[in-house]
Amino acid sequence: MTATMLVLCANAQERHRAIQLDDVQVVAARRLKDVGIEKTTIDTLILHDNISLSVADILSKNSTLFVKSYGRATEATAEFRGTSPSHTQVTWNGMKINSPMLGTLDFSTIPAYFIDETNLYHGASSISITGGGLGGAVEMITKPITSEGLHAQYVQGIGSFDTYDQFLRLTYKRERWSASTRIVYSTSDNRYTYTNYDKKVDVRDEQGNIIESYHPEEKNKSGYFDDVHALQEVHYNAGNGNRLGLNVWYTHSKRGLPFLSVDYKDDSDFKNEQNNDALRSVLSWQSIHEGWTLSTKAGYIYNQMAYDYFTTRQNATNNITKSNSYTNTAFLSASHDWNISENLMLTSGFSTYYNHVKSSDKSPFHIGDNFNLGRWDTDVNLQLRWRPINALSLSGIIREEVHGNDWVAPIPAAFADIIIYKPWNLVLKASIAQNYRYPSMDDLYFQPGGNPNLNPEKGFTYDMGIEFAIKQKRYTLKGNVSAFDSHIKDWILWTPNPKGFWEPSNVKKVHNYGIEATIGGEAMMAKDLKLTAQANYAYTPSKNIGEDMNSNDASYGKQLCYVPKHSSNLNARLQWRSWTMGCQWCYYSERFTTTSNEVSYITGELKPYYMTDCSLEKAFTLSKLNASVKGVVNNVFNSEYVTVLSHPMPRRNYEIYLTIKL
Amino acid sequence: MLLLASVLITACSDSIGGGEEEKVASAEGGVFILCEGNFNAGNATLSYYDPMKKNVENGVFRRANDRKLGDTGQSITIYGNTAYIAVENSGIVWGMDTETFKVKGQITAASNTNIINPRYVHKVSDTKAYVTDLYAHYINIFNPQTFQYTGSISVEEAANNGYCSTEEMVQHGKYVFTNCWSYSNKILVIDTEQDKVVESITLTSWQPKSMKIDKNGKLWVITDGGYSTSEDSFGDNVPHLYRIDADTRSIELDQPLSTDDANVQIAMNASSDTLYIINNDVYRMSINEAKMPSQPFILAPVDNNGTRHKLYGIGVNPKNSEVYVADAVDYRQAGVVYRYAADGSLIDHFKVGITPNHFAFSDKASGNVPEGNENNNENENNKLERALVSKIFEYMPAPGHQVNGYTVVGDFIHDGATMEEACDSVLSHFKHQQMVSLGAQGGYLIAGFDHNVTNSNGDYDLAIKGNPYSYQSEPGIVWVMKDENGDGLPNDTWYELAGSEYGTENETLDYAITYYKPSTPFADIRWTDNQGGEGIVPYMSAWNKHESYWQDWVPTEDSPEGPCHTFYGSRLKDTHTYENGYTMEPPFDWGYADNDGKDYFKNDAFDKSGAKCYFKLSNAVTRDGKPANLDYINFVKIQTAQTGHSPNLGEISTEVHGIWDCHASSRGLTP
Repeated sequence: MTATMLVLCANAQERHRAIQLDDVQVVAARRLKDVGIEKTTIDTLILHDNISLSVADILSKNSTLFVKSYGRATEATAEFRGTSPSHTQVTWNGMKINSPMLGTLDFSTIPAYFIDETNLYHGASSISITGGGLGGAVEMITKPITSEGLHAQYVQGIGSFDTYDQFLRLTYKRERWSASTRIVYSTSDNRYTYTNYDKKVDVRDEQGNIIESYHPEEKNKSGYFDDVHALQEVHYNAGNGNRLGLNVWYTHSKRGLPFLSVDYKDDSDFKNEQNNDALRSVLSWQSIHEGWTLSTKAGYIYNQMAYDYFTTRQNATNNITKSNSYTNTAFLSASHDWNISENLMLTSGFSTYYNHVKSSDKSPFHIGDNFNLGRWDTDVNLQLRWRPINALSLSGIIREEVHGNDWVAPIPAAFADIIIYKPWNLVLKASIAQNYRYPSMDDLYFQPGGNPNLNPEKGFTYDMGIEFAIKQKRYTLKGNVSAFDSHIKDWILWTPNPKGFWEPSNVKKVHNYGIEATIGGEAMMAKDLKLTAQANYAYTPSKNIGEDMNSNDASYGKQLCYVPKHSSNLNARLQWRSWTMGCQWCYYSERFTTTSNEVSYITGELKPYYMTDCSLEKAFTLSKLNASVKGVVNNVFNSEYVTVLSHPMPRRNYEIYLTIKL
Repeated sequence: MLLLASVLITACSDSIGGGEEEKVASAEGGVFILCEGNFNAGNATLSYYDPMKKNVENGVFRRANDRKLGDTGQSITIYGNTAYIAVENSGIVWGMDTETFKVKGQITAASNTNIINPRYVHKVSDTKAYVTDLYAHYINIFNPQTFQYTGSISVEEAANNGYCSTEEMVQHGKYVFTNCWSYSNKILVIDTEQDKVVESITLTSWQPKSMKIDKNGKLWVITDGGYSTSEDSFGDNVPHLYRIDADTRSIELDQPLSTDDANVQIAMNASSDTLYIINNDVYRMSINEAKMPSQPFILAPVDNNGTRHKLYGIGVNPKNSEVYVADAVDYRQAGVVYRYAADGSLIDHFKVGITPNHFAFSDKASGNVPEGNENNNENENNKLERALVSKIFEYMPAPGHQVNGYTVVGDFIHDGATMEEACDSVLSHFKHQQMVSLGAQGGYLIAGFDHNVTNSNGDYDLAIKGNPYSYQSEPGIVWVMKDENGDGLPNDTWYELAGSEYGTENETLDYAITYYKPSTPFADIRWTDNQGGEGIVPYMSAWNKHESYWQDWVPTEDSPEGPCHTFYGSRLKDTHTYENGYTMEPPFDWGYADNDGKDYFKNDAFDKSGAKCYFKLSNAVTRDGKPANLDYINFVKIQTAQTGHSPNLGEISTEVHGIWDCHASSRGLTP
């Protein structure tokens, strides 16, 4: 028996000895389509690091984006370059999935295992895929499978706070057809313990004198979640350049909204819950020919979101507040790439969305329908790319958007890149653009308060940067640094009116500028020992330069709320034979909670924090079965921290995953 | 390795709390400002302002208690030396000591209660307080001393479209009234003996938002009118102002107001006869007026570029009718509070926490009884009434803008009144502990008891209520008389109660001052004295718009300058200063009425509800300065002691709210 095991282990070691450096794309092979584009790619290896991660977790640990998260499996939005979450446009297989009602996307609802590649388009570069991304755009892609035959993968995760993650993937590919089914089911009580510094318990004697006071240990109340996702994909490759694909993604999610650390209510009496049912589907047809490619897509999104706050006291359910929204989106797009010559390419595109939103709520301020409206959002664009000489490439994009009956001013963008030193693939890149974000349907129509007279937010941005990629025998090194400067006018801000409800208006003007830098690479430290590392850093002063609200307004020139000036992260992975050790470290500088950046209040700033997560994985091969066991320690140093006021985060916690592949 | 080590160190220092409990000093007459904070951020804070030093301390609750106030601070109400702070989205009502800012106790939305989002606290008695609620279908009841939850009152019938929000509370007799704001047009009437809703009053417009009760038992209610937008509406969006009789529960006045986007709120002054309404600007109206004035009393601040500030909250200091209003700026940064004098002139402005919305006024010395709370101490009041003087023999005010027709209070004596009528009005004011001004130097009143006030030979024997502050004392000299001839009239010998300045250069005995009746309207009133001095009592229309500050019932004598009147008594040195628009009127050490000296305090044995100046009959002196050794007295005379006036406050005039026998309550009375 022992002998057999040894043999098996030896086999496993043999197979895992093929550790080698990844390829580096050389500038000579750069796609014309990527001219001047500031793009960061997050690959499958990172996205599929572990099953319990959402795209929000991935972005916060592997990019320069700032992810504002309210906690584990609670709302998380992502911001580029110190802008707002609604300035991040998000596409999934070519279809925008920002909520037309809110303008934002909750990245915590997207399991990273469902995405095979994520591209981040920073600043002006987002215009190459969509308008409205005043900060940038996130492109999420699922890819057709490549391995023939029937395969299965099952992952079982068990984590602290009664967290269970199950993932099943079945794939089948034969000749021209391929199909993939992925299912994730995640549940957690999520009742982690934290020391509540926002409360203090007084112990009194019989005379009422305090004999002792202490900050209580409390549980995270109402942080539970119960999410199921299923993704079905079918692809057909006709072999003559025509490809058909269908992606259907269904989500059912029930999540408690965690109580604040200053809430004295009992979670056995109150439920504050978010229920979401969403179906997103895209049917695509791509026709690739010599000299031209035509891509067409049709899609449909159904999204029902309900927030219920109710009490179950006296054994009866009484609604306190309630809000419901139903969104139906139909989508159609076509894009044509025409390679006029080897160095000249013209892309023309068209997309249209019909968004219908029905939203209602019950609150002390409003009971009934907020609105029940449909709107066409249409975009046409022309993109010309030209490489006049080998070292220089130029491109220009113009977009025109129509929202309802409103024609937004044209969105122009220009890009250039110059190869400076070929052996290092050293390229200088620059771009400039004017961009507009059209108000969301809540901004315009929410009742009471919606403002139909809002103007689109207007952004002007330019940036410049260098990137390089070096490959040597024992290591690869690549990176980029870019500086950006951007002005956003007519920034939409919701403020309470004297009657108590909130109203949006085009009041703010914001100046964002700064630096984004990424450096990463791989090194063969020894035979079978590979180190992979990537570091990201962003310096994003993001200042309000709008007109003062009145003479008491002290927010001019101050950093926007919750936007850190400095953020950075570092990921390192060490592979030795069948062992993989990973470490992720991230840092955010202080974030202000007031527009005037008050630091005299205890609640005025959130302290900088560092977060370190580590994992260790061991892979096994048993006959046809590949398996691995992975242990993860999150918040290794047991930090006590908050990312949003009064929302304490979990301290050190553990997860273990068992993966079986057939 | 180095990297890891540095991470370890920084990780350990990455603490999010665990501060110290700090000692924060309270001050006399301090003002608490509750700052709501942002919903769901848990950043409500409490600021504390010292009007004397013009100093504000922010975040005092957190600093004193090392814990956060909570999420969405709604109201702060002071009873005695406890502030009850309702923090609605945290589901907690804190009881906080107003002097130490330390938590005394709390009542939370625990499972055994019906509390969800507490809004306001009203103390019904020493053992019973009500808490209204935005979401619960109940008003909850707790013991304000022990913070024990004791029950709830169902308010289901207030429901309109599902909400039963109950808001502010006022009490009239045994009934507590509360306005139901969200989607409602009801005022509920609660019988405090049964703890039950017994009736409701239906208004003609939606969403009553704020309510106060005046001295005549009339409810003043303001609605916000619901909302109306191009797409949706509930109500007509027009605020209405109502006056409702608390006894008959009938609506006596219903005035639609002109603006539609205001944060309407009402405040009432201490004598419950003047309303302050915030409706974009601040309006002030006497309870006798039939409609809200069209001209604001205080305009919302306007910047040089024409930007008009939005005012968010209002509070009126019951001690001196100073008005506090709040500007929340953008609701995401420090708000600003503006403090205005009783005449509407700006005194100060200062930064507080996020979204200041509610004010409460404490008096360290007195333990202020807040507005709407007159009935809480009914037994105490009966006791006080027995100890009060029973008759006013003379009310002889010297000229002064606060004597009659004072803008803040209005007329209290009608035109052409006789001395007898004037005296009756004074007694009526004393019964409600309301202000009576003696006018400038020499002005006086003579009051008598229906019993002998015994000289305890060392203890305090008399209590006289005024409205002094350490920065605004207007001392009056007190004289006493024994009814030696037993005719019940003050026709015997007056003895001065020597105070701290008696026998020093600060006091002039045998002082006489003559005021000359003006011959033209709106004129200053000239005076001369027997020391060769002269001066004026200025005419100040901002304070009092009457044509003349000469009162009809004050007799005149002839003089070469025309009709005049001479007052005789003693004089204290004028010590006031005026600098940069602020007047300082410091107190003397002890022994004077309306003086914030050592003998101005709350005497638990006599009156635990409010501060008064206390006097010992053993200090009575004869004309030649010797102890008078009176065994008892029957009559009291109080006279304004200082000459002088300041540009913003006018003449120094002693104010009196009542004169009591300190022993009446402890031994019972025999007429």
